[in-house]
Amino acid sequence: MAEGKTITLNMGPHHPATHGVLRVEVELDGEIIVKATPYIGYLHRGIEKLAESKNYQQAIPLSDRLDYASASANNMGYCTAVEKLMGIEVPKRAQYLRVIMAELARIMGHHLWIGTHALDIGAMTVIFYAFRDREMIMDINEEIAGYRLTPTFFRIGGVAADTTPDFIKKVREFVKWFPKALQGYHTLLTENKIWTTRTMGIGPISAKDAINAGLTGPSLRGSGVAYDIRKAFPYSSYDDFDFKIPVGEKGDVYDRYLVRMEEFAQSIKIIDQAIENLPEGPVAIDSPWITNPDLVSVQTDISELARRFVLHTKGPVGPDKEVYHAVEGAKGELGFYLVGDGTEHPFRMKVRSPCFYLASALPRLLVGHMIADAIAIIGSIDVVLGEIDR
Amino acid sequence: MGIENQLTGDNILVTSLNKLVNWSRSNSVWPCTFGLACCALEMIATSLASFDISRFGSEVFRPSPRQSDLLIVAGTVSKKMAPMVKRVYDQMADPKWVIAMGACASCGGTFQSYAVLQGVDQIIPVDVYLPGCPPRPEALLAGLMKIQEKIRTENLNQRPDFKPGERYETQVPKVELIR
Amino acid sequence: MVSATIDNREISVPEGTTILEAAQKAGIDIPTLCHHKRLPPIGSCNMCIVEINGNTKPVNSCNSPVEEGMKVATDTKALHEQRVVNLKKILKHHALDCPICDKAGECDLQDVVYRLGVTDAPFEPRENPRIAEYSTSLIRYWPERCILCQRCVTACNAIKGIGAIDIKSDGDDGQIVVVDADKCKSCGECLFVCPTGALTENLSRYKGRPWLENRVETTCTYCGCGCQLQLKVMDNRVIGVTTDVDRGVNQGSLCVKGRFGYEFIGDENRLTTPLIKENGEFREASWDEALDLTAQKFSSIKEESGPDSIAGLTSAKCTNEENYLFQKFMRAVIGTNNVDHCARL
Repeated sequence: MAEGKTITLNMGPHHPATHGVLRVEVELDGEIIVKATPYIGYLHRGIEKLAESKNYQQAIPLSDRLDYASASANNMGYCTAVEKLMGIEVPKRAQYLRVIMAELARIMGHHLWIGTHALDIGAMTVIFYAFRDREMIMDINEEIAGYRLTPTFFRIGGVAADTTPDFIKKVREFVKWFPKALQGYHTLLTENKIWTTRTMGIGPISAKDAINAGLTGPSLRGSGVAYDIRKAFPYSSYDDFDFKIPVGEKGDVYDRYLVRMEEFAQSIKIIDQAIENLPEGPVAIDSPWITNPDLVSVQTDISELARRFVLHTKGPVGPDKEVYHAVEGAKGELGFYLVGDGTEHPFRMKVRSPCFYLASALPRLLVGHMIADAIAIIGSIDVVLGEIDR
Repeated sequence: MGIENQLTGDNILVTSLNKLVNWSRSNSVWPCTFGLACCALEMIATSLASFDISRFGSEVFRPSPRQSDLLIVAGTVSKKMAPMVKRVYDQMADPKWVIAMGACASCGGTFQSYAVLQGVDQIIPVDVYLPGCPPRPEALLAGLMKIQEKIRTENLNQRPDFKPGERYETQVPKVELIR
Repeated sequence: MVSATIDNREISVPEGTTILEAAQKAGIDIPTLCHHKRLPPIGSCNMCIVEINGNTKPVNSCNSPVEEGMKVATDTKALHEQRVVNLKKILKHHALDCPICDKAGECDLQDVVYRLGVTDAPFEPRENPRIAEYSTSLIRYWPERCILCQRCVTACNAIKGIGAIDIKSDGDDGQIVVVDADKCKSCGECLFVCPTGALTENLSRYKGRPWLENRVETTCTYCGCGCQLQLKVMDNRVIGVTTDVDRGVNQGSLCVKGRFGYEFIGDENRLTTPLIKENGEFREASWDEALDLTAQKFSSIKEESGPDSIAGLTSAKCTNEENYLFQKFMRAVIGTNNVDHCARL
């Protein structure tokens, strides 16, 4: 370390490269970071507390807004947790549709990551291509759920609606198109000299450190640990599909980049299998205590009408017990800890957000690197502040 | 094609300063890169190829508030973030406009909680409110067009940043004379 | 005290307690439609049926007392099926108008349907539609929503002792009829106990949904009883009055004024400033001006004709403390004993 005083530099919360409202206070010795302290809470919206005042069904839109870059993946976490609490088994077709939506959301999240990450490091072109393909997923979301970014397509006990012919067509088109687009990203970045110089050997974290820091998802797999909840604790029919867990070796920015690029391909593979083998059947369980009756019978049957009113005014009742359920979100292990108290509202909802652990690993990732590399490292762990602050 | 074809030979264009200034301001509304939450993603989508905000002269997203004219408050403003939003707004040079993008920035939206500011208009003046959670990129473009419409109908000496008594005092009568 | 077992839970209750009450005390919820805490057992809905000592013939728990050593089962498969059959009988002709029903959202019938998970009860219109015979200017009877639970009739007889309405019981065609129209005071007791939307209030109809309202606890201002009210508030306007069975001196009862006399709260004609009459016309004035003028007039009358030329009359809407202050003012400041209260008139 060179002699002389260190200077303290504040990045954020309004900084174009911190991906939201993350604030990092870095202490610099020349250009070398000697200390980094992340400050969070600038997007604290009280989602966990709000969920206590809403019924189980109403809290689904809140989960969309946790990791808003890949909304459906959060729906998957929340809904499967509530279903575990209530002891519901979702129909196979709904499980497959959920897998399709969650994997599309994962691709969406990775699109945002690759676009902004490359933009921060100086490769501006990638974001245009990434968002071109992201729009295709947005169209698919809109086709089936009516909403682009935060579809809220999941429901307790299934999904909101059955597929439309256009949905299947659009998903197939996307599955056919995307490998070519992915090849395009590779062409732009993977062997790009500037890109490799900016990312190789930057921000490495060993497998042991990554596990100790609680990292999950692509950031952990970049360090060589093949841990993926989709494989380790399969949920929602993930064990039906054939896919691999990509892992890196060194755990630096470039390895995390390669892992996510390979996840693109694996997600497409899962979507392809799911859409081609989509089982027939209902898309939601038919339970008078949980799911809405269909609108035709509501107009001819008083008991269905009454049930609809109670479901809308009070909501489904959860049992008096507690569960923890985790799914593989786009950023890592997204867990929901729910405590039911026998009413329509959860007594407590705790979100185990992967981004919180990623952000808390920032101090050890940043120290020893140049200030310019801080941007590459923050980009490579891919934090979303909605999930950190909740 | 455009106006230049009509200008063959020696010509003179007559307009009021008001119109000229408003015309140039309305077609170069530079937004500040300021994403807070989910709406920021739709703002990014708006600025990129599919929706192409540069058709409206607003593709130049400036990271520095000093260089921008438009603050798009894209997302939930928490009470911890509110002072920073206010500071960014204060740092922007006049003339400046504000779009409250999405339900959260307009009124708190679904987050009626202890931690969230119930509408950014509690701390800074807002010109256009966009409904939606988040609004579609088309909605943001519609909001931008509303801002442009507003700019075009503005009267220079009635803007909030107009300070009578300084240089304008001597210039305003001249504007009247030209007209 | 008698001891018994309900759903394998040991209970011990005073003699004479019904099975339903004992179960509720033990935290076991038995669905009911006609039972109401303030009313004597009616036994018309057959929802609260239970099995005693494994006997396959179920009995109504609301009017069977607990006996020593009884073994009660409240939720068996057979009971559930029987309840569903009974409920479907009720639902058969129940009007399909939850979307416009004021009760929807806090309706006991809806809750029981939801709880029993009935999903198939197709609506059949009546051959001879019922005609609404009972109605007042404040209460409306919707005959197609009525499930003939008889809570209203029992409340009118047992709580108020009026007996204005009765059931014309003729099987499926039964409905509420008026026994003596002059007896009905529109107290709304029937409306409060109604488990469905068969009796609704005319003033608050279509003004708000139960799940959108705020309930504000307050005390009635009409007289000295101090009944506890819950004002239904939506968008800062009072849109109705209800009350709670467990609260205050009234325990769920209200009179016609307390239940229906709330519209003055948001009335446009309410005075917001004092008015002073000058040359036969009122003009708006400030409080200081009005009080000065009143004090000056009182002093001059007292000087001219003596203190006994002034009399004071207070309103029952004032609190006791205000009334005390008023008589103190009349006696000590004005100097007269001419003070009275509207409740004595």
